[in-house]
Amino acid sequence: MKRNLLPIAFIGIVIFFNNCTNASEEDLIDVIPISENIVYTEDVKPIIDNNCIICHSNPPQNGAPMSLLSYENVKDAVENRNLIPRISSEDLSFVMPFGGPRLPQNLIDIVIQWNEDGLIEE
Amino acid sequence: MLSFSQEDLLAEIDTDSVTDQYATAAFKGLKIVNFESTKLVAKKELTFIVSHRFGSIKNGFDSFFGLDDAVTRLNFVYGLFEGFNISVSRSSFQKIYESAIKYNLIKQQENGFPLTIVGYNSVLINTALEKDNLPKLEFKHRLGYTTQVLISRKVNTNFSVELAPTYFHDNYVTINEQNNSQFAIGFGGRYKLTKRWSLNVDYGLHLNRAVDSPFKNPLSIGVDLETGGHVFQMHFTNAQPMNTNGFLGQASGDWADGDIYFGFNLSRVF
Repeated sequence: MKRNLLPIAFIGIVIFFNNCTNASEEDLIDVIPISENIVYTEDVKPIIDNNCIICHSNPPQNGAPMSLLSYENVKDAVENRNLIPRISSEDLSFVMPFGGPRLPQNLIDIVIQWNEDGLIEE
Repeated sequence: MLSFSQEDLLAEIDTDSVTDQYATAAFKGLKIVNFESTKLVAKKELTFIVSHRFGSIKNGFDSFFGLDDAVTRLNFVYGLFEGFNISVSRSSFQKIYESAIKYNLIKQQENGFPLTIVGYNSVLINTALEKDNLPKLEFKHRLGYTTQVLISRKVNTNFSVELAPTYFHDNYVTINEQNNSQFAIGFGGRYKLTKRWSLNVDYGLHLNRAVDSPFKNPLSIGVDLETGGHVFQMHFTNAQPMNTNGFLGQASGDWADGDIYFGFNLSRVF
């Protein structure tokens, strides 16, 4: 009896949770066109703060080589430490944030645009 | 008292409890490499499996052939009753919690049915997705499901093969063109080299991958080393994730480029 009940219970749990959806990245992001001038404090800092400074703090944690707390830190990382190739890589063993999913493309595009606009602080 | 507990431990090692209870054990590990094998944990036994996948060996000494970019999975599997396992795991790859059941449907017999058939169902929760990055994220988007039938045949004492038709669904996929419901067929084999060593290979053929997907089919080659109460599996693979949805859906390495990862699964029976 016990033998038969357990798989059934598990299937029940699966069905309970199984509100299957079919979402992809474009369904879950806010589609806001990239603003004219990307500046650090308004556009880039929130992305860095949400995703990077858990490890790239001061002092850096979990083997991170440098801090990304300040504008100078981030500017230096873009110019000298391959920050953009590192966040836009499609190799999941290489992409930053480490071990996480790749950032949504719209956020990566903001950082790329910021670099092209000249890494303006505010 | 002290000597008594030591003898207890020795007795446990002597029972060689990793060895499969069935007369025809097709596989010695719970996994071939990435794919689940048709082996189950025996009744009332708890197995702990630590798995690692390093980063790409391609980057050489800069990351010490991937050591710096390793991901880990801790997995507990318990034999609830004969032919029925439950398991829970946590992987550092996308902070995934996972729970699964694995159950024996048919066993291969010496002079009877030629195959062993095992079912495998799993539920995954991706806790690495962030609402800050994905403003419309809801809890349901974190979930994924795996349904798999594992069919193995022990061809002779040294050689076993497995086929694993798989259906898996991720409620959220990063690639916009990728269908959330995905199908794959797993192929695996084990060739026993010596009493303790065997050569293992598995490959996952994804049947509906998006055309522009950066992800590849996972191919893994490795060896099993059996010691006391351990099975030690070492291998090279082009998939860093260790959950079924992960290595089938998000393997980003490429054998042709030398972009592969060293990994191992270490299992211990309690």
